[in-house]
Amino acid sequence: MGGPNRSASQRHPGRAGPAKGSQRRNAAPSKGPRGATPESLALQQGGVPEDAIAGILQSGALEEAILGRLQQSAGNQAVTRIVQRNGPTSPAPAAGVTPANAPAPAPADTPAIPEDLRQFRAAGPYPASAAGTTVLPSTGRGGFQARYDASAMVLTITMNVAINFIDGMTDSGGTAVAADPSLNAAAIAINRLPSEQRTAAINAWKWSSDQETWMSGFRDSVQGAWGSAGHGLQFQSSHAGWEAQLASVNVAVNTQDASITGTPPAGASTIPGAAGPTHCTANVYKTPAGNNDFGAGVTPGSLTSATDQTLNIGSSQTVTHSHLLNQRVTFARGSVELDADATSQLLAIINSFQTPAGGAGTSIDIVGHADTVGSGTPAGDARNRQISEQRAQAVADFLLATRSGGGTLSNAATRIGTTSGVGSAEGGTGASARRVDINFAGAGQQNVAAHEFGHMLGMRDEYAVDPGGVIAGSAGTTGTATDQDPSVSATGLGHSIKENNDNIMSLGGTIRAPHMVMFMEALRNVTGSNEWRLKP
Amino acid sequence: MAPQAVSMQPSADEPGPDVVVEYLVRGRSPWGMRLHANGRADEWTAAGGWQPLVQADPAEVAALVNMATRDGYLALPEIVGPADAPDDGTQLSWMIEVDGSRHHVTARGAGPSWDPVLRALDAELQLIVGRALNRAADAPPARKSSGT
Repeated sequence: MGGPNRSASQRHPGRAGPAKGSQRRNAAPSKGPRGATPESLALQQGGVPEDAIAGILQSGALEEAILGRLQQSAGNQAVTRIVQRNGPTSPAPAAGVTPANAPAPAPADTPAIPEDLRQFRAAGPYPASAAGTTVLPSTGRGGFQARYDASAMVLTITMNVAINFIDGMTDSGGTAVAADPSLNAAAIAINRLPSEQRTAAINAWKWSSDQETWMSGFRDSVQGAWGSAGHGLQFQSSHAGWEAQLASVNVAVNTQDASITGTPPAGASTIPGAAGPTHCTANVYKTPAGNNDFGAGVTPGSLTSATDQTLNIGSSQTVTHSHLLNQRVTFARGSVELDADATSQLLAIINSFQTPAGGAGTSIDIVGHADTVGSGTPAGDARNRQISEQRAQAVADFLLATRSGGGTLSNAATRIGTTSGVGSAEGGTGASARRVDINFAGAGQQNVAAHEFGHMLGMRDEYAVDPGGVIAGSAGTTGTATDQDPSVSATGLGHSIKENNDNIMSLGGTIRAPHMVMFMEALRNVTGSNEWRLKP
Repeated sequence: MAPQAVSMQPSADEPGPDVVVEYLVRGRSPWGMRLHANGRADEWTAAGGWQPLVQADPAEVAALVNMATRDGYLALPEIVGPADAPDDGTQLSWMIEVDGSRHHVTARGAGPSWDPVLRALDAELQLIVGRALNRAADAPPARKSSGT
């Protein structure tokens, strides 16, 4: 959120503001190509060729949006000088004709802002209270504070999180006991160790004065993912004449160790500096770095409260991990034929990665591998590369085949991008080395914390569980609308449909227009206007 | 429940007649355990399916079943946890056989939100199996006969 000490020019990106302070400084270097003016250098730095500008000026097609861009890249004074040098920005009236009621020309550094928009900006922020408005999303899940600064054009979403730090493993008389069922297998592994090794192994699952570091990493992870700076999406007013009014999203997460403050009562927050209530209690289980085993999830609490949800997460789930967008089948040594297991697996993959009606489907890249048996000589390496390529092609042919009675991958021909083999480059002699990777959407990884934060914002899962597929869970089949889809479609953000792809609420990490729905709901709520759309 | 690979889930097969406790974890890290009346513990992993894990103390297994009866496991509803289904997370299914009848309880959400009865049973089950594993790990290696 823009702080109170920021200058007017910082609070009006891309536009000239009404005040003197909004003028931007030319960015021209002190030295430049011979003959280049500061203006031309600045414009070139902004990526706008000077001849193109001259053409625009001569055509009279210089619209406010273009002017705004030029002012952003070159500075208001520079643009003013160029406009004065090159003539008017609108077609000259015919000779002898004086336009009736011609408005007085506005100063060149203050392009016209409709009076109602000026008043709207002046009346903000929305709401006036620094605490913002508590928003309960339309799904009844999640909850947060929202406040829109119309001058800075920033929608700030604040989530206050009280955190219980829980050791993932406890030592009960020398025996490891897992704090959550998803960690039981790890406890079994520790208890198989001789006693002199168990204590150290258990200690890796205990917090050790690293809580502050974790909270910082969590905040960075979700703020970076969900803010406009991370995904590049922002809103724009759809009110006639207000196209310049934008709303970029700033996500602010406040965290506090609940063992210090105690669990705050509903509707209040003991988080220092946090405005509004505590929205979420997080149970963070200590897990060793790189471990992604914890069964993270969000419990919604009451569907009429924005302040009683619970996040459960492993401490090492604030970074990305590989998950289900990489599927694979294996081959017998020396074979390039799909056996019964591989065929069955591919049919299951086809079932899980279908395309919803009208959709294009997730991209697919197929990469074959060979084990290292026979490698080490030019001929052996060439043979292994050939085998890996043939394996990849066998999988591609299977996915491309048309079958009666189902088992056909929709849009396969357009979805399969590359089919290649890398020989025995990855090493190993086991069955996993004799495989073909089927990488959907580039086998994108997922940051569990960022995914769960989507639930904390009120969204449901978008991954799909199809009969006979490879993905299990509690979600619906491909093409099923999510709980948030009615709001997504009503706000012009497209649709939220279950599909196994790289969406943040599915199996990947990409935030797209439908995932802006809770921000849109909040923006409409705090401004009292439905005239907002996603900026094209 | 979080998305996961179908091939990585514990089977839904009915356990054999001598199994008195079954504990199945579904979610991101699927896992399973079965305790037999004679103390045998089997483990289910994605890589190996059901495999023998360790020999536990049969008296401790019997004590676990008694604990379930005494502390109210039989009175629990079939599903415990938050009223509205969590997004993602782990689902834990218990089966405990008491007097020849198998009683099933499914817990959703995370441990802190469970009924205290399940939390206590969970810890006790882990200790029974964990101690047996510790004993096996700390046992001196068997000496080979030197012959004559």
